[in-house]
Amino acid sequence: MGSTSTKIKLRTSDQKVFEVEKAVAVQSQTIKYFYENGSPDSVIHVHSVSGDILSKILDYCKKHVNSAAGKEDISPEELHEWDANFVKVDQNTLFDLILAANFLKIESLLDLTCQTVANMIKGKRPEEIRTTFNIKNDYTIEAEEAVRRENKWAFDMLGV
Amino acid sequence: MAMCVEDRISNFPDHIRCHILSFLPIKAAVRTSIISTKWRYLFASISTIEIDRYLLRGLTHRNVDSFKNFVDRLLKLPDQVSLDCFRLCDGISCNDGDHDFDVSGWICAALRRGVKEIVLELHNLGDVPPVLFTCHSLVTLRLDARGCKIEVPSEVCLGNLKTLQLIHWVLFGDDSIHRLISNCHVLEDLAFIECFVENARELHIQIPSLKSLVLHFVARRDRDLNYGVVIDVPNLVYFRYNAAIVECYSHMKSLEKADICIYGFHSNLSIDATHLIQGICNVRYLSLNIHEVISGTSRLPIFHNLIEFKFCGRETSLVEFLHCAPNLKTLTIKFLDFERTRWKALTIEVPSCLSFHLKEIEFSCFDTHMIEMVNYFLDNAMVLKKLIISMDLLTLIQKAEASSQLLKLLKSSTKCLIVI
Repeated sequence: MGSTSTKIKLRTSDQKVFEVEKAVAVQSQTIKYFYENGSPDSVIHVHSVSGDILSKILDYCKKHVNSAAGKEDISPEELHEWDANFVKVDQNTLFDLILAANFLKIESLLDLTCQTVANMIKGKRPEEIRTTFNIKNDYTIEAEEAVRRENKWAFDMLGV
Repeated sequence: MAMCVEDRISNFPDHIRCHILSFLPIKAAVRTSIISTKWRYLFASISTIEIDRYLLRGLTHRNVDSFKNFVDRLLKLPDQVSLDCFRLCDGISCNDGDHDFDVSGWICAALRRGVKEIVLELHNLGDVPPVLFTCHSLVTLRLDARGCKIEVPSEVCLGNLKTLQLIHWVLFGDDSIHRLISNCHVLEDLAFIECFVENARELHIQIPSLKSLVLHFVARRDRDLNYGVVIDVPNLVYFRYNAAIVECYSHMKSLEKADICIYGFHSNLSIDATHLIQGICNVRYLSLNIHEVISGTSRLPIFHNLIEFKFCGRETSLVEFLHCAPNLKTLTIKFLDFERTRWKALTIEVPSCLSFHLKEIEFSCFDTHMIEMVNYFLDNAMVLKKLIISMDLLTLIQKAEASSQLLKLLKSSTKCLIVI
């Protein structure tokens, strides 16, 4: 068979080994770089990504490669819905996906996951954002007042 | 969703948190500065600045200065990262009397920061700084001029521009617009949307890199149509033409998809679209909306590659086209007016696509008097697999009547699926 069946081996932080179709794996610019600049049979270490997260990410890449190549008959709306379900995960998993997408350089996945976090911020008051992400407010009352004053227009306006 | 017990997000690298903020409206992004000290200055590094009408509507006299000050700081501070996108939409004018915004100054500042995309939808775009037309960093430029004449400066150099969309422009004279488009050497996507052409003799589009072209012109009077169009774009893949017909010569040998809507204008009601239609004869997908009869003397070219055809117009023109599309597979029809008797006379000779290739037909606004035509297609389309009939325009009673008539046809035809 031709290059379509070439496999790339990946080893995760928890020492799990994945054998992945090349077309799927090179959705990650990082893997692509290592593959093109290393020997073709060597195992690529994705040392900051766990097996669970990599397996999810490979699902994502496979879905997108297949739909782009026309192997899977899926409309843009259906793919959009699939993406929306893909990011319905707990916050820790979502953050792991962001860091992994950033490390692996998969732009569309980084956009999708960051957009999801942005949606969790949108429309919330500062206290609510802090609660959502467990952020501690370390401003003094005076400092907080100064921040508000500096961009008065953004805090002055009605609504959130 | 389960909560995190620790604060992970605040310890993300700045560029990731900035990326998250880039998906927020600018006000929401600025408001994150209050969350904690780690978020204090994060918003200042956002790479997309979009000021829209929702934001402006929220400004009051009390805080407008604070807002101006903010935009100035954001754009004009030195040592900033380069800017991806600057959008000013709706409700601001270039010399804004109400708010006294320094829009020109903002545009210049954005250009100095190497902005890649500029979108301006302003009232009175007339005072656009000339530097906008000599910017190397720009990749995308979308200008909505609200019917203003834009003075394109004598020096134009947009060496990296790939997308140029001009909306509501008055294209005045030959020189100005020609100067603009002939100096964009890597342009891939050019669109004139709802533009007017005034005092021009010829619109000459010769761009080898162009892949997509939209010509959507609005004519106000007959004499606005005294110009010709010459299109020389060998690599064009998509072409949309939505305008009154004018002389149009074109060279588009790579064209795959065309979306054509042509109409006459008072004096030229019987239109000769020959040259325009000949230019698109390589298409695979064609949507054609033709309001008047194509003049009888013109000969249509053969559309060898055409496999999908959406037609809106008169039945005379449809029959002509069917004879010229030997490999057509999918046909969608919408009629402007329809005469049963004329249909009979038109279809003495069966077009060859019906005998060998046509697999799917859709009537998008079916009416009961078209039943004979449906019957004709069922009889003559030898490889038809699917017939779709949409009756959106009919009343409930008419629908019931049409359905019963169609069901009779269905009984006598066993070879294809009818979807109503």
